[in-house]
Amino acid sequence: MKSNRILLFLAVFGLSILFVACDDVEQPIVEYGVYRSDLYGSPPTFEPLGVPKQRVLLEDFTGHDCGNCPNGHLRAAELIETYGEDVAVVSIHAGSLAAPLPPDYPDDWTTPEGTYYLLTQVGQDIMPKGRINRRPGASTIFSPSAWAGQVAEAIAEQPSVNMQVKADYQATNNHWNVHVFSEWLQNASGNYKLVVMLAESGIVAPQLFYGNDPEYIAEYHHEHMLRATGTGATGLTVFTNPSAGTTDVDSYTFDWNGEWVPDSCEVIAILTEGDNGRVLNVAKTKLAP
Amino acid sequence: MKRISIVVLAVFIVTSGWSQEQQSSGDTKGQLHGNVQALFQNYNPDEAIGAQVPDAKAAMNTFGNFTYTYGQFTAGVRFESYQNAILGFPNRFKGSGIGSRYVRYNADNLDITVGNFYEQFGNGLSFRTYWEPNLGIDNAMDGIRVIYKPFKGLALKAVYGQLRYDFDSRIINSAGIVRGIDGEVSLNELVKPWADKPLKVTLGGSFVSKYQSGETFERDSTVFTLPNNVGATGGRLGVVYKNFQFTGEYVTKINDPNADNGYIYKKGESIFLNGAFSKKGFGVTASAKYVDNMAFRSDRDALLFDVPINFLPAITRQHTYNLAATLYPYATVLNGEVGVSGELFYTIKKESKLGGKYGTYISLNVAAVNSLDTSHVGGRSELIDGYVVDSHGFGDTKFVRDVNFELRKKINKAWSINFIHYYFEFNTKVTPVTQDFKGIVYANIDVLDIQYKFKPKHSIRAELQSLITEQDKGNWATALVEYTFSPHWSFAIMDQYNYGNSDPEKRVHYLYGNIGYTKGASRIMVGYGKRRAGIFCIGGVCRAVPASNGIEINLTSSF
Repeated sequence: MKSNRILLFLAVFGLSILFVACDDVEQPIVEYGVYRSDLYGSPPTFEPLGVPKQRVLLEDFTGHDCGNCPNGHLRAAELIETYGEDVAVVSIHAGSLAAPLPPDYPDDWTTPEGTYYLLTQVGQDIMPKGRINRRPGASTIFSPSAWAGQVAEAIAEQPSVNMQVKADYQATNNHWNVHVFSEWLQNASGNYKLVVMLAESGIVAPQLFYGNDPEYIAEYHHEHMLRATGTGATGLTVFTNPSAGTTDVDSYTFDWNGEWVPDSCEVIAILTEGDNGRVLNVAKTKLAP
Repeated sequence: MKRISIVVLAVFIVTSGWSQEQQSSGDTKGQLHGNVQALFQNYNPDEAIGAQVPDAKAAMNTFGNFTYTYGQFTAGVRFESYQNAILGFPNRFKGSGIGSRYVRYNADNLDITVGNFYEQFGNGLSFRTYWEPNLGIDNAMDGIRVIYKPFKGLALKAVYGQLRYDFDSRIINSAGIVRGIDGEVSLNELVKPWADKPLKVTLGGSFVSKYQSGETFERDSTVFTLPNNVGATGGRLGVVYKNFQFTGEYVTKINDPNADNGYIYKKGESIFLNGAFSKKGFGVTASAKYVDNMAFRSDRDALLFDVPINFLPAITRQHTYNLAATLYPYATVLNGEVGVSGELFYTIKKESKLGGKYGTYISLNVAAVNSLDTSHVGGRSELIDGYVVDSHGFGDTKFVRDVNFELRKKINKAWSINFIHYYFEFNTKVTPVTQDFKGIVYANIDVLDIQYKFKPKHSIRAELQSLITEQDKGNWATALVEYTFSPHWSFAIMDQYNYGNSDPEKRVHYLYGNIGYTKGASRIMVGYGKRRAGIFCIGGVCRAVPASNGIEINLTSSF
């Protein structure tokens, strides 16, 4: 009797392992962001710009418990005032000063991508700091007072690629579509990645502001806040060894998050050298309804 | 350092005394057995050989196994201490504590172990856990094992647990969970009429699965779904007929994206075939091996020696003489290889013209291993599976050629000699044993080992070794003289000389000497000198050991 019980146990154990312990993944690739032409038809067409157009990405690393950060927000607003469409600002809430701290700062505005950018672009938990087109070289992490000079330098560079972007929000299916047009002006070698970011403005939430009276602002208007990336933090490789004259439209459909307000969102597309390398060019647009 | 040496001697004396106490106790109910090893090294700077000197300037590895048996129960514990770990061991090993513990019950065909245990299914292609203290490898299971033999001729095994990954004053297991079953049938024991048949057949089968949580990962700008459960299934056959013997094992593994294979989804496959014929004074063996994407670890991100679930033995001969064993040792390429080997040995009869008074042993061993025969098809298929296998034959890239001939002869009661010639073609791109050369090393090695027993209990052994190659570090020569005064004392001195190095500053003599003292089951060995950087292998598993210069004390004792 005892032998039978042991045998039964081993048989049941063995069969259980056999039946449950294998995940045969038939389709391992996650079709992430594939454009739903079945729902939205062919991607839109783009007309080449015809002239080189260098635009600039300002990554503003910030946090609601960072009392000096609103000074950075003001400098960013001045740059948009000056350059309009040619400067894209994304406020990245990351690090210890962006962590939820109830009851004063109950919200969590951090994102995994923002945390990754703070780690890879700044490397330290300090703010306010900014990167301008992730330009390479020593000392390329700037305080707000230096942003204007750096943006002016970057925008004067000759671009190797022109970019345009169109984006729309599809309430019926809870989707947002993005179409990025790239037009290479020079030959280039290596891999180039496209990152699509979603930034939201007009978010009302607490912020610490040193020098302001009061320093604790319960209804601060947060602008250009990074809410998500459609393509992942490091982006998707869309060009390898492109030659001058190469053009391409990359189209994506992403799922919408109900916490975001479509009318307050803008899409920022950047082309980078490899993983988080120099930003070659930028394009931004409001979400079309 | 002096203080540490005194501690080592104290341990030696204590353990020796303990051993005697056990022997005289005469306790028949419970028995305590164990062994202790302590290895101490100090490190001196030596720019000529690139010796590494850790901040502590010394290191010490210690372990002690203690096993207590009482009737049908056995309990064991191993104490480990790394203060700090000897260079060449995983430097994350640190602190002192319990490195293994288990309780085992074994009676009535039932064998149950809880805690740490070591187990192997078949040749180990699907599952093998083992401990090799001299390499710092321990992938012990921590969980439960049940072995049950319901009747003669059938053995069933089931294991469930986690593999040991690290040691930081305690055991640290890897993230994955491993579970497996194995069954083996001896048809001659199972079927009574076949009991006395000359044909002996055994059949076996196993299934091993690992679980590790995970959702997705990104590679080449594509997001992939991770399999959390990865299984390997295998079958094996063993046949013995008179002087012939054959064993074969086949294991396949489902999609297992991991750091070894570059996170591809291709199924893994391994085949191991061995045939042998032997009779008195003559034997011939032939082996074939096919390995495709068979790295199988309990953590998909682990590499090198960490948490392997299976073991893929090398098909080449495991060499023991220093130059052949440590400069170009071959270990299985887990991602894929095809190999064949053969060995022929013959003992020339005693009292014949060539055999002399004691006979002469000769052997010829040949092994060849190449890459898999694969091609790349590109596109989505390549993104997922990496490559396709065109045939189970040899691919274009040569991994290793190993041809060796051995002649062993006892000339008279006082003299005996052993001569071996090796010819290697060794691809250092595939097996990166050196940083100085990437390509095929062509090497001829000769070893002459002479032993002279000049009076009872007194013998001298000398080794002369030569390695000739135009690649890598060039030519080497080794000379060793060892004097043994049985049963207690041994003295040895060895010099390795890289006289053919193209850089004159690297033509260094690695001079090393040691003294050993043995008493009963305890031995202490004290050595001093330069140890060159090399590859230290045991059973086809190899670890790189950096160059060092200093004192080495090694104590072993069992009771």
